[in-house]
Parts: sequence; C-alpha cells; structure tokens
Amino acid sequence: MDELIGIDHLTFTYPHTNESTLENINLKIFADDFLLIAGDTGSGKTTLLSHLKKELMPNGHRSGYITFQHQDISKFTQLKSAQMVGFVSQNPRNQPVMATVIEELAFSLENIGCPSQEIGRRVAELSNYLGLDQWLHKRVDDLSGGQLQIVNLASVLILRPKVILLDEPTAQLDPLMTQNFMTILSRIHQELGMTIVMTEHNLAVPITMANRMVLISNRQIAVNDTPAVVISQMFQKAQLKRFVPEIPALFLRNYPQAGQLPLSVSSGQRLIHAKNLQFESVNSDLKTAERPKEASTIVSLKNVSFTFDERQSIVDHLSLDIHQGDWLTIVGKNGSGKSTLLSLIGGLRKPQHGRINLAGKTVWKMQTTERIKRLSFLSQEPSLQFGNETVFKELMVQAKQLGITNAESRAQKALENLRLTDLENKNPFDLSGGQQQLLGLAIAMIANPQLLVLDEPTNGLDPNTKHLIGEQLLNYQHRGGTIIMATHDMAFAAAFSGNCGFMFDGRLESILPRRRFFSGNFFFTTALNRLLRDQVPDAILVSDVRAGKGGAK
Amino acid sequence: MSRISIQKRFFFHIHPLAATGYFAGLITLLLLFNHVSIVLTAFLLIIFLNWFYLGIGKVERQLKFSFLMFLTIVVFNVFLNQGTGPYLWQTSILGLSFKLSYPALLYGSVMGLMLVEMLMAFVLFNSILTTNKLLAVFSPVSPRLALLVVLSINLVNTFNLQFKRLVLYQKTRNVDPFNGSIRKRLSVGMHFLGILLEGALVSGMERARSMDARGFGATKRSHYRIFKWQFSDSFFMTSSLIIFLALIGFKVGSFGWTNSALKFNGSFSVADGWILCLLGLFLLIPVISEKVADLWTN
Repeated sequence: MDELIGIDHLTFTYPHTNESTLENINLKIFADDFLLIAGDTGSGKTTLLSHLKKELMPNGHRSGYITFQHQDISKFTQLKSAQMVGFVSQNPRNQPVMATVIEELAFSLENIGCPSQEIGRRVAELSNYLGLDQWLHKRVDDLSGGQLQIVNLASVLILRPKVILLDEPTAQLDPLMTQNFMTILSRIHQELGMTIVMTEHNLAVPITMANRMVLISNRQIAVNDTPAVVISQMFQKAQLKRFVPEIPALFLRNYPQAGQLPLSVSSGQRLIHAKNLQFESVNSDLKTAERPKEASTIVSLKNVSFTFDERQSIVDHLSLDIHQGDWLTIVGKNGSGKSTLLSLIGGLRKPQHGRINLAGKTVWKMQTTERIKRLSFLSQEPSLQFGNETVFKELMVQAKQLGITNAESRAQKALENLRLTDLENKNPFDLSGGQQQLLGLAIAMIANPQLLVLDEPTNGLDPNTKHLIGEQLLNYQHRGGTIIMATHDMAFAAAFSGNCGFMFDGRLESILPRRRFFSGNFFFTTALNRLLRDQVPDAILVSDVRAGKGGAK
Repeated sequence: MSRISIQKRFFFHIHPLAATGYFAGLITLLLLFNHVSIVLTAFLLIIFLNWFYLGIGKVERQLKFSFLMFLTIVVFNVFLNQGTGPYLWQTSILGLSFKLSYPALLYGSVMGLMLVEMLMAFVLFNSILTTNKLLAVFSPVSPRLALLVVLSINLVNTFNLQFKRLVLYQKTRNVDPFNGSIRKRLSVGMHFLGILLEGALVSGMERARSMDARGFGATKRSHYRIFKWQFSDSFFMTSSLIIFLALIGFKVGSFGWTNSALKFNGSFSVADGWILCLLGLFLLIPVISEKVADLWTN
C-alpha cells in the first residue's frame, strides 16, 4: 500500500509545560486507510491530529519528521496543503464563514483561485453526490448541528483532498445525525477511496468502519492494530474500559474467547447464532433511588403551550407532574422542543398558555433570587452562563448570590467533586468544552437546589467524565433532589435516569421507567437491547446480563 | 393575497454595481435636502419602498425601533433652540423657563425624520445587496478585504443571536439587563459585551484556523457568482444618474436646504416643488422599473 503520511519520532511539548504531550510517536498512514485515534481525555489525540496539517500545527517544541507522500509537510505551500489535507473540527458552528450553504461550498474553491465555471461545476457535482441540493440556498444559521457538520465536510471535500482529518466530528450531534454523518464518511471512504483520520470518544459507530485503530496512552502509541485488537486491549485498562462500546464490551466480559470480536449489532447477532451463545438476566443493582411513596409534587405543568412565531407550537398543551426524587429524562431528536421545554420549566421563558408551578408558585413570577435557590439550570452551551475571570470566582459569585454562608468551602467542595481543582485559576472561556460542561454543572449544583434542570449535560464528554457526572447526579438524587434532563445520549439515560419520555409533536409521550422505556423501543434504545431483545428483553445495559448456562464460552 | 418575495423582484436582480450606485445616490440625496415637504415626501416614499419590497411587518418593526431615536432628536433640538419664536408654549419651573419654539420643533422633527429615512434606506440596501453581491462589487478592488467586510456583516447576525441567548441564560446567574437602575443596566450591558467579545474571540480563532486550513490567503481569490451587465441595468443606471445630477444642480443652487434651526420654516417655492418631484421620481425608479420589467414578461 502507498504510504501517504509518515510520522517519525515525533515528540512535542507545549510552551510553558515541562512534560511532553507526545513522546516518540511513529506512525504510518496509508492511502485508503480509515484510521481511528482513541485515548483518554488529554492523551494527545487532538495534538497528534493537528500535526498532520501544517496550518493546524500547535506552537511548541517539536522534534521528529512528518511527511506527506514522502515530502516534509512543513514545506508545503498553503495552496498545496489546502488541496491535500482537509480538516473538520468538533464544533460545527465555528467553521462556516459564509451566510448560505452554496456560498460556503464555493468559499473553499474561491480561496484557491478556481475559475467561476469550475466552481459551479464542482458545487453542482458535490451537492448532488451528498444530497445537499435542497439546502443550497438555506442560511447556515438555520441549519441544525448535524446538517451543518455535513456542510462543513462538503466544504472540505470540494477541494478533493487526499486525506480528511476529523476531530471528534460527532461530539455535538444527536444519534440520528451522527449516523447520517458517519454514513456519508463511510461512502466517501469506500466509494472515493479517500483516507480518513479521525479522533473520537464515541467509538460505537467508527469502530465498525475503521480498518485501523491507534490507542494513545502515556503520550505514546500504545497499540496500533485493527479496531477489534485495540478495543480488546482497551478493555483490559481500568481507565479506558468505559470507552469500549456496549457490543464488544458485552462479549469481552462474557465470551472473550468466542471468536472474532463483534463490533456491531449485526456482527454480534451473527456470532450469537453461529456459536449458540446464551445470555441471561442479572439482578441489576438498580442505582436510581426509589421515590418515597409520599413524595410531593415539585414541578407541575398544566396545559402549557409555547410558540416562537405563532405558526407552530413548540410545546402544545403539555401537562406533567414531577415528584420529589424523580429523575426524568426527555429524549428526542434535535429540534423536537426539549430545550424549549426545559427553558420554560426553568422560568427563563413564559408560555403563552398554561401554568408551570414550582413548589406551589408560578415559576416565572418568582423573584430571581428565590428561583435560583430552588432551581438550577444548566444550558446546552454552559459558556453562556459564565461571567467571571476564574473558575473559582464563578463558583464564589454564585454562592454569594445564593446567600451561602460558607461560600468558600462549598466552592472548594464543588471543584473537588467534579475534578476541577487544578483549573480553579483558569479563565472559564479558556476551558475545553468538556471542562466547561463540568463547571456549568458545579455552578448548578452549588445551590443544592430542589430541582436540577439539565440540557444535554454530557455533550462532548468522554465516557469516564460522563460516569463521574452520573454518579454525582445520583448522589444528589439520593439526597432528595429532583432532576429533569434532556439528552440524546441513550447510554447515559439508560444507565442513570429514573423515568424517560419522548418529546414529539410538542408533547411528552409515553413517560415510563427507563427499563420499560428502552426495552419497549425498537429504534431509540441501547445497542445492547437491540442485540439481546430476543434472549433478555428487559436488558438495556451490559451489566444487566451475564453468560447463560449452556452457551459456548 | 400573498406578497411577492423580494428574490423575485426586478430590483433584486439588477447588477450589484447598478444597485450600489443607486443606493449611494439615494443616501446622498437624503442628506442634501432638509425642506419639510421634501423630507416628509421622502419619508413616506421610503416607507412605501420598504413595504413594497419587505412587507408591512418589517416596516412596523423598523418604525418602532427608530421612534425613540426620532423622539430624542426632537427633544434635544427643542431644548437647545429656544431663542426664536413663534413659540407654541412656554412654562417656568423652579426658576427655569422653557419655550417650545416652532422652528426648533420643525427643525428637530425634520432631522429626526432624516435619520429614520437613512436607517430604513439602509435596511432596504441590506436586503437588495446581499453579501455575495457586495463581494462581487468589492472583490475586483481587494478580494480579501471584501471578504473580511462580508464576514463582519455576517457576524452581526450571529452576535445578535448570541446576545439574545446570553440574556436568556444569564438569568440563571441573577443577571438581567432589563431590570434595576439605569446604572445597573448599563453595567450589565457592558458585562455582556465583554462576555460576547470573549466568546467571539474563541470562536473567531477557530474560524480563522478553519479558513486557513481551506486555503484562505493562499492566492488571489476568484469569485463564484459572476454578474453580467444587461440592457436593463443601463436603463436603470442612466435614469437614476440623470435625476441625481439634476438634483445636485438644485443643491448647488442652494435650494431645499436651511442651515439654521432658528430660521427654519415651512415656506414652499417653485424650486422646492421641482426638487420634491425629482426626488420622488428617484425614489420610485425601482418600482417603475418593476412595472416596466413586467411588460417584458412573456
């Protein structure tokens, strides 16, 4: 196979740090590879990816060589670099520069001086190939995150690069859009033979598409092999175990020697049938607290309707009672109205009709100081809730707003609980997306409110951090707190929440205990439930099942 | 009966250079004359133009938005120019006298209306000259600068959206720019500006990286959309230019303009009549062109 990219003895250290981020990295990427780079947060995945494109190389001390088609990558002209290596970043909203989709597609070609007719031809060709022709004149601001990420990919693909680099491209997308995006990526790889190099935390889909996987650990490449081999090795490491997706985790846990490790539901089913593998239910230690029988109603919504433009109701005659100690998760695709509903419950918006009561009082009529003592809200974009110079100051200011007497010790405790102590003097806007999420949660929880309203609290987080958040929220619930959460993270909802409901057509449909909710669904459920619904219908998590008696080991 | 979308109008499809020339002329002419009847006529015709192309909803929003500015200008003029009568009203409070001067009220109203006209003309300009047309006009001069100007214009919309979301979510921190004393609201407003700028800086750096990664600055930029000059553009430009030059002639002759607020009055001369007609015609050129274009429809 043709070597496309060669990395020889790359060592890199960021400025003002003593320890290197990458140590003696050696890696060859071949034409037609689909390479997945995995590793814990802070392991250097993004740093390694950034080194594969001249314009993205971070400042710092670097030694070693990076070549592209055997030429030093740092000697490339900008024009050549743009046409050889494409890059799609994590946040879909931070890439587009033009107002409409067609202008965004043309932007890249205008940059390289492509003649007008050629631009027209390429835009027509690509938009037909990717099915973007219906969106061409839409404003970029009106697109969803998933649609935008596809446009971002197209604006890079239009330059016809040899390799595309993607840095956690699906971190902020819902499962449906993730699937759409990954399907397009698969097409590009298989039909066009394009080389793909991708970093990702959410490995469930990429491992089924990649032909190679690299694990970065302790600043070095720990494993460089097929996804099945790398995943097996990740399963052996305590700090990486949670990164292993459900399907391979199921087999590694129960039938490690059964054969070729299945990575998808379909390959799992094939192995189960081929080897007659049996699974049975385990009495799962139900983590969610039982609601006390006499639990009072904390939040009550009566016939609530809300619209932005008087044409379509986002929330339509919705009635709902949430009791103390509940953890309600609202699922639904982007644009279904989850965030709007949460902002209504949080008292941030007022519905045109209906009432929302929090502990007996109309939520939007409460004094703000009283409301923030009883109810904490975490938005999808936590940075919109920041406003102080340091992480510690954010918590102190909030504690003082709430009239907390031992503000400093409470703030310190909040930092410790969410592992933010090392970042206490950092500017909140300099934090990574995941760290901002944790800070937002710390600010929300410092009040120890009656009700926590959380909008996509696990957005962009790695599995270990998600678990940390889940445990913190469970502790809060055990102490009598109530949680209302919107998420499209099925695995998180299945692992931690109490009840779940669908947001659809302006209403919350079929609110059920999580186990019944997920096991009763066919599409919106966990991969494990899809795999084992015939054998263990109620199983939704890997921990819900074990190897059955009589099955091959 | 549903409105015809602006994208289907003749005026939307004229060459960007012709549209730029027209709006440059329009803004200039709105600044050249401050006779009451001329300004009032221009105001009413601008409202008509905006209604014709953008719809009544947008016109109402624009008028609501600019009413406070209009009022501010009138109030300032009335307070600062109390020297010349006739006086409509006089009063004295705590030893301080106030005289509502008719010329000052008239002058302030005219100045206020001129500002509102400019704002409404600018809104129409934004709707007709979209960013890709602006690029087409300025790219031959400096492609990179043109793009950066267009990016800045696009960012205004993003800034507005972010501001609204910031106002919403900062309520969770008990920070509300619409409650409290004037001083507190100003302080919160400045605080929000700081947050928006920080956020814009972070996302701006990522966006800049993405632009670099896609070859921005690598070579001279080309342009996707090419606009061809048509006969209708020549007709539009020529008629606009003739009327514009005629009006400039009137201005050179010092017609239609009063320098001092104290001498302001509503007297009307023949020359003012000519200016009024010609300015009205200039403002109506787009609508007349629509009707002429309709005659050429198959």
